[in-house]
Amino acid sequence: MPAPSSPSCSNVRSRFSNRADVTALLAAFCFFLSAIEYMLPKPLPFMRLGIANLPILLAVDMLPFNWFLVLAAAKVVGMSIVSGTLFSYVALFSLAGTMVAALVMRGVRRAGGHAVSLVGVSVAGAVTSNAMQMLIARYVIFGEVAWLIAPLFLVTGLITGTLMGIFAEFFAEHSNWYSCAMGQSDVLNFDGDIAVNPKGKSSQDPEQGAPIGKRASPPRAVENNARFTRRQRYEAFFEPWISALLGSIVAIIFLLQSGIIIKAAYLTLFIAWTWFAGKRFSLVSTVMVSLSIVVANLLIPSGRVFFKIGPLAITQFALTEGVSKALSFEGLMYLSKAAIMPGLHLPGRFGAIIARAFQYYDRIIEDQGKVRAKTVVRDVDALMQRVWSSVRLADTSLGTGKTASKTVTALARSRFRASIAISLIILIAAVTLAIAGKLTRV
Amino acid sequence: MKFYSKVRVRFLDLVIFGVAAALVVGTSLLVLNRQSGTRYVQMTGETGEWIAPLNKDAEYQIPGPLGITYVHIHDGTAAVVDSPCKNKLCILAGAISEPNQWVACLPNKVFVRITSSGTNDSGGVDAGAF
Repeated sequence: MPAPSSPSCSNVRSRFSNRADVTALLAAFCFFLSAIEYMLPKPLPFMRLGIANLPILLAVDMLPFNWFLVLAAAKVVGMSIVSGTLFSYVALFSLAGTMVAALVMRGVRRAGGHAVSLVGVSVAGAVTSNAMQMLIARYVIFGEVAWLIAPLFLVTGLITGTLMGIFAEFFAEHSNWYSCAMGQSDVLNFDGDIAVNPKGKSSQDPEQGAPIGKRASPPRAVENNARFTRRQRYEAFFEPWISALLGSIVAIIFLLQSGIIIKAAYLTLFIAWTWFAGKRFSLVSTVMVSLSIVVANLLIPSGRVFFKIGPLAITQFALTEGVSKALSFEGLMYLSKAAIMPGLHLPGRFGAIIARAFQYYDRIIEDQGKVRAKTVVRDVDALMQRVWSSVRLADTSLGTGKTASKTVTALARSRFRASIAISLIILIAAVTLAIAGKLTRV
Repeated sequence: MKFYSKVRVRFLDLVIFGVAAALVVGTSLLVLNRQSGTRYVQMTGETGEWIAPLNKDAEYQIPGPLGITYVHIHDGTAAVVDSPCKNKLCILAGAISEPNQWVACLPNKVFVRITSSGTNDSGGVDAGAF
């Protein structure tokens, strides 16, 4: 390796030796890509393209093993916070799929060496991830019938895995940021600019000519004004960590329930809570997902035949089982949405990495640079470099901004009291429902 | 096109792709096989019809004009374990597990048979059997 030849080069080099930082940036891209994935139309509720795994794929060669695992875990936890699914089954799917796939990808890379490219690594990861999720689907929501869709999901994994692998290989070959991270290059280079931009946030994108960070609010913001007011009010009164703690307690109470009526009552409570929290939710998609879970369970008939729709027999136990699973699934979904607030900070070093990843994530969302299909690799590469250099400068100002004044602590104290009060109300509602369920045996 | 020409696919990539493809084909065959092999117990009583998978242990109580006929599904077989009839032929008939095998308690008007799918449109007992 040649010695750094200029100050900026040594900066770049030392920056990349900060594994936590590289991990956070990659995790931020995972969040961002999963947000994009969320917006894409899906033929089936649980079928995904897997673009959120691209950063993990790139990290296979980049990070040491422990940091690689930290990245995978950060992806799962961060994505669950962004989408508010931390306490739901979705997080379980994501956790199992991602961690197992990460281990397999790393293993294939180690074992294969130069005989394998990122395409093979990606295919192995995607197929194991989907297989893992099928196993969980089998035992948690769909039952026996999960085997029926297993081939479909594995084929999806095979196809998307190949596509992602080809893209990752191509990106790794052409990305300047990637070659810097791999120690093959010392100079960051985006849009003809050098890495360390002294103006930081106020810099202009040469091609767009628009200032970064000043973006017109999206149209749905106007539509959902009422929701945003609710959300602001809620966030002003509720401490994120208390909300998360309350959510986990209520989740346990909820999971102990077995009756359909009591579960439906909880679901109603959670939907109301989500509404108060000003979170976005769609009853239509709730109904669609619930229906698909119920229908999947009905495919294996069991119990008294109520009636028949063509070849499908509607049977008593299959129906109650399906409705019960759908209620659990959706209940946890709403509970999680309501209880997980975006300001949630996790403790410890892992929490710090997630927090840093969210900083990067905000920068990615704010960024004005366009990604065009024709020059996708170059555009994404430039985006990565811009985001990376911008947060570094913002970081220094972060330290001074933390000096807390007395008014802030007073505010915090009143917010703490309000949080406790809201928590008590919700907890009492949840416990009352549980007791009512026990007494009436519904 | 541009992507593909620049990506060098290596030997192990093809191997992995092959293994994954084989896994897909294997699962599909397994699923097809399993699905055609899934058997159900179809129980018809005077008041309605019940269906249960044969591979899941369960107890069913089928009401008839004389009382309740108890059907026991255990270890992939189904049997009438108790019935309020006089001759108890249905209990003596023992356990059934093959498609189109059946046990009936005629006095209590309960008919139990094995089908190879959840619906009653396949197999089909010939009319003479009843």
